[in-house]
Amino acid sequence: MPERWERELGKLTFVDAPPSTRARVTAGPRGDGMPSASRRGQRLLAGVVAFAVFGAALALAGGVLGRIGSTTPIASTALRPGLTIELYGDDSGPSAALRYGDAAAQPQVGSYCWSGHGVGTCADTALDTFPPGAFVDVPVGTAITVQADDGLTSVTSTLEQGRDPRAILSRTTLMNPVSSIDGEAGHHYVLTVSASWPQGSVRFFFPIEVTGTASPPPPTSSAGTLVATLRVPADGSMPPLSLTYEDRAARFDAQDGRWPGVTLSPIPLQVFDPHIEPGATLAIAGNARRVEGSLWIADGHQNLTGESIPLDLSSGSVDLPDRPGFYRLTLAGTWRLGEAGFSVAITIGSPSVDAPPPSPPIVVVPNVIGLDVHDAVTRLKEAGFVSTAVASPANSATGVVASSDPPAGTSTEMTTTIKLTVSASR
Amino acid sequence: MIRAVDGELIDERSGEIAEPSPSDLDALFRREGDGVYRTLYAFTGGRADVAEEATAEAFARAVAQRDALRDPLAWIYRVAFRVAIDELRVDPRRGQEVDVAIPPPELAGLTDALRQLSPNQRAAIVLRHVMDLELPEIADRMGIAQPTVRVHLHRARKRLRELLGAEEVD
Repeated sequence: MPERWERELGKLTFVDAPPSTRARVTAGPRGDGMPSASRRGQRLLAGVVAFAVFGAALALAGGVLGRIGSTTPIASTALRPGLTIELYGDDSGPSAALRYGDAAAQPQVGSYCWSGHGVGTCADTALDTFPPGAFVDVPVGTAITVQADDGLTSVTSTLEQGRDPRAILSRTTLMNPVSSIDGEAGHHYVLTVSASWPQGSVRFFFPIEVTGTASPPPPTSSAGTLVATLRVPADGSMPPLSLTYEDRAARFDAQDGRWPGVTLSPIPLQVFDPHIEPGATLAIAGNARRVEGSLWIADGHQNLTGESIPLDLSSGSVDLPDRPGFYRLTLAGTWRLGEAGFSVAITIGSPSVDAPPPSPPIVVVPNVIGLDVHDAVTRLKEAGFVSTAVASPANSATGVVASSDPPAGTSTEMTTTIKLTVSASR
Repeated sequence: MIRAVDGELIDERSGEIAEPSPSDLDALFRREGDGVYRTLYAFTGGRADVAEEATAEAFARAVAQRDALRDPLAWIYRVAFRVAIDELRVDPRRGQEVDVAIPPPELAGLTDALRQLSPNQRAAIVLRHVMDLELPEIADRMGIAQPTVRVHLHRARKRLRELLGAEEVD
């Protein structure tokens, strides 16, 4: 049964655009595509949302940025290992990530304009205060290192106390560039990274909490890190997948997806040779807007068992299973231009070829009784479960969970479907 | 044949993302116009005049600049939010004394409650509970990060429970 507030909210379903809206669309944008003169300045401050770039303007912008770049070499920003900012920009847009040991943070991105293929787009973004859980702990004194593609022409980092990027943008005083984390321990900071490529300039905002004494970075997993890089090459062709583990690296072609001008043909099974230590970390790098992945369980002859372990890559990294076995790593990246899917056989530990394939990890069913269905499904996902089935009264898409099968406290494989029954009454 | 997949217009023959034509955007308006308006109606706290202007202006700009759009629907939502913010900022009282800003009686309680929420909380709750969108789509249309959407949703649900009641109804 929906709660009263949901029922009230549902009344909005019957609110439709007045008929006059259509005529207003047909009349075109106000002022022939431009805001009225009295408000133009205000709108420019707010960020223009889209524009057509002409060839001459594009060439000019590229030339100007190129000259700036020649006096601001990127190498000068790389001091010593520590906190790493990854910056990539290509025709599909700019992207950035922050890594410190095993910790990672995704930035909020300021409004920007970007040009490619002779057409420009502007992204008008709404910045907001970082939530408490978003901050990455970094000891004072940690050096900032920038890793970037060849196209980057300049980069500057500034560190300001606070949690809200909007407050930083509103400050009028000049901020001094930083090359290390020099804040006050116990406080929250926003690390602003201003980066320029020939296609455009972007500001990325990262949440950082400065911790007390300078200490070594949190240990990366002793089992090492398998780095998967999905990046569109400079020529805009379909991105490959690069896997790196310790001193071994290999490149794999996409087996699935869609990309302008590309027709995919079947290719043999791709294998990444090195044995990966159980419990190693998988880290995602590159410039995909989104990466999703799964680990399919296989036997010693590379036959799939049909069971898979989802990989939660939302933070940019995930722990791989600690059970030796043969697996098929599948990753799918999404870019503005298209999608690319990869499937690569990997081996964790040193399993026997004739040993039975590993069973999926065991997870304890959490207690979700009494929770809203959405919250219950979220909690099950967080616990590691892959699949949930919900039985609810026919007239209600929402409600509270009355029972789960298997019940709370049961230890079962993460691939088990958890059946939830939704109650008509609380 | 052009069809919309996840908000992007796809040329079925080539599989490539297609640039929307005016007729595609016309179809998009027929299919999504009410949803955009509904969301903006909530976002502006029941300001029907601002919601209509923001919806229409966003679609009109999309038609004018279709060559630059890859994901027209998400773009239209973001533009509409921005236009609405600008409209409300320019004259927050404008329209409050005319008919269009007075909600119909059946929506009076709801709009009063919505006005107790921040605009982003209103937009998030409507996109989730009225438009049935998932978190990534809400984040995309609002142009904010998913964790931020989660926070807006949590606060909006809590406040609406306080204002409108948490008891179940038939």
